[in-house]
Amino acid sequence: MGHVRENAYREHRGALSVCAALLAALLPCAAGAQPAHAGHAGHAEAARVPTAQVPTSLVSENGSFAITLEASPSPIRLNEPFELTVAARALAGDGRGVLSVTVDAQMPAHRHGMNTRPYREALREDRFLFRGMLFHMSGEWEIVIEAAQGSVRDRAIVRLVIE
Amino acid sequence: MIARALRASLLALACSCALTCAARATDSAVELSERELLSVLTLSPLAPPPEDTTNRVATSPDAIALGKRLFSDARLSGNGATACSTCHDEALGWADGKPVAVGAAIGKRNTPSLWNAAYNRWFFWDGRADSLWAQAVGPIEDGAEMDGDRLHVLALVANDVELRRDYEALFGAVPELAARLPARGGPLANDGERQAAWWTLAADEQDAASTVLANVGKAIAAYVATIRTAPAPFDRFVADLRAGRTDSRAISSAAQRGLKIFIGRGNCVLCHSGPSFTNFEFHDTRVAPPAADTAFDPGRLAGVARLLNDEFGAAGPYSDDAAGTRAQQTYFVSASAGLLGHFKTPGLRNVALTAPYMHAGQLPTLTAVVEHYSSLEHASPPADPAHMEALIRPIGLDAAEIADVVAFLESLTSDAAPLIR
Repeated sequence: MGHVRENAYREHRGALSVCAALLAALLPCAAGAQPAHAGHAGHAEAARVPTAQVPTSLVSENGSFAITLEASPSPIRLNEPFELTVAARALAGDGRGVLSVTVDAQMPAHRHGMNTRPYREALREDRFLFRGMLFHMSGEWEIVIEAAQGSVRDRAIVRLVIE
Repeated sequence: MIARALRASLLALACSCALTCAARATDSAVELSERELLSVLTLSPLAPPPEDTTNRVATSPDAIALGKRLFSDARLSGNGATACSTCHDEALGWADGKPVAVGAAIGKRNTPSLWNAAYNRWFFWDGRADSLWAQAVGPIEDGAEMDGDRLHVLALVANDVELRRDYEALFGAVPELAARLPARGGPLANDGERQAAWWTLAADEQDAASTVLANVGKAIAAYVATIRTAPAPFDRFVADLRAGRTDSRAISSAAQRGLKIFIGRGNCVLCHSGPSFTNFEFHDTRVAPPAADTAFDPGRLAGVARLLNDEFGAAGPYSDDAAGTRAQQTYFVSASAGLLGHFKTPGLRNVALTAPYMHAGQLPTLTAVVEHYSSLEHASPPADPAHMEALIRPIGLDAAEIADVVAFLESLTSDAAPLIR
């Protein structure tokens, strides 16, 4: 009985999260929307997703990498651990060199990041699993994805509102 | 689809709340916007606590019964005068009512209440333990708390007929070591004699004594996990909102106004989130130390270092699930310098019963706590300005608003039944 009630409650909370995300999309100012990153307005703004649902694909700020993302569980929920699978493909340069991808996250309005240190596991040479991520506060988070290959280095920022 | 339907119903509910406000303007009934309503609904009800797979007896009735006896057994302490219950007094909200704990010596931190302790991700103000049983072990050997040691605990369990019987029913035979080992000794003892005695032991003898201490901690944890808050007036208020009863009087108008501040411009809910009213993590509250000459407390930063070296950790040799969820979350812990001076966000259920407040009991009342966050008038500078919590800034509540927030906090006090057992 307890498990049934707990599961029902969690499903309800999940629905609330989605609903909250929709509301946040309608009210970006109230959701603490931040201006696009200076100097990379076009791409950064394109990556802005005011929801806890991570976009599945995006292009890095200077157009150097095509990046695909998959969060698990999805949508990301407040104070619950999640994993992020990141694949990157170079769109610039000669494609030589080992691809490196790092992920971090921060709350720009709070001036701090996560209390965890994500662990990276290489699934393929261009695909990485980041485990141990956790957003412990509600509000706007930025996931910063940095990719480098050879002399090409670029980043993408995904902005999410966690309710 | 579910979200769409829910959103539609919430919109209707929010509109209804607004109409209620207009109709009852004279008694200051409180209007909740849709966004506020969504926030309020995340705060209740309180689900059961997470399972602790690192403790195989966590829900055993026999372990709960044994743990309850051990919780009040002062023989676990070095001087035979201090039990867990000495500082965690049910009559004082499972705390002690003092600014800082007084056990074998005067401590440096406030005794945390045990209400809903089983919900925590980290334990102690600095989060230096990652399970409730690892937390229970700590004070037994802490020189400022119970000042016991693990050879003393081994001897106690081995030589007390009833204790031994109940222990062995849960954990198996007590190793036949007590008679030939020193009566006192442990690696954390605060005197050289007991430490020296410990280091004369063979590794298997040390392991046997440590196993008994860990199991004592697991039994105590099984009991402490039953110390849970019953529903509060606030839960009835939220249940009313869910049922569409937007004119609920389950909590006072003052408490409703305080709730709006709590989830709104007060920013309280950013850290005190979810049905436990905590995000279970760590923040620099900027509350001033108890006295000007108080040594700086590094808080979580030192706690992480201890956590990662805790032999009773979730991934350690005494855990019953060394590769499980708790062990993994410890693996991912950051030891960032930004955690300097951070302390765990306490849950707020029954908070009105657990004065004084903050990690060193610096603030005597809830009013003082709200005044602190409202004005930051006597606040310390950020422990680490490069990593300060930017949202902690003066919000300038007036006296009536402060009283409203306190009224809301008081609405989190459980109804008549004090415990869920």
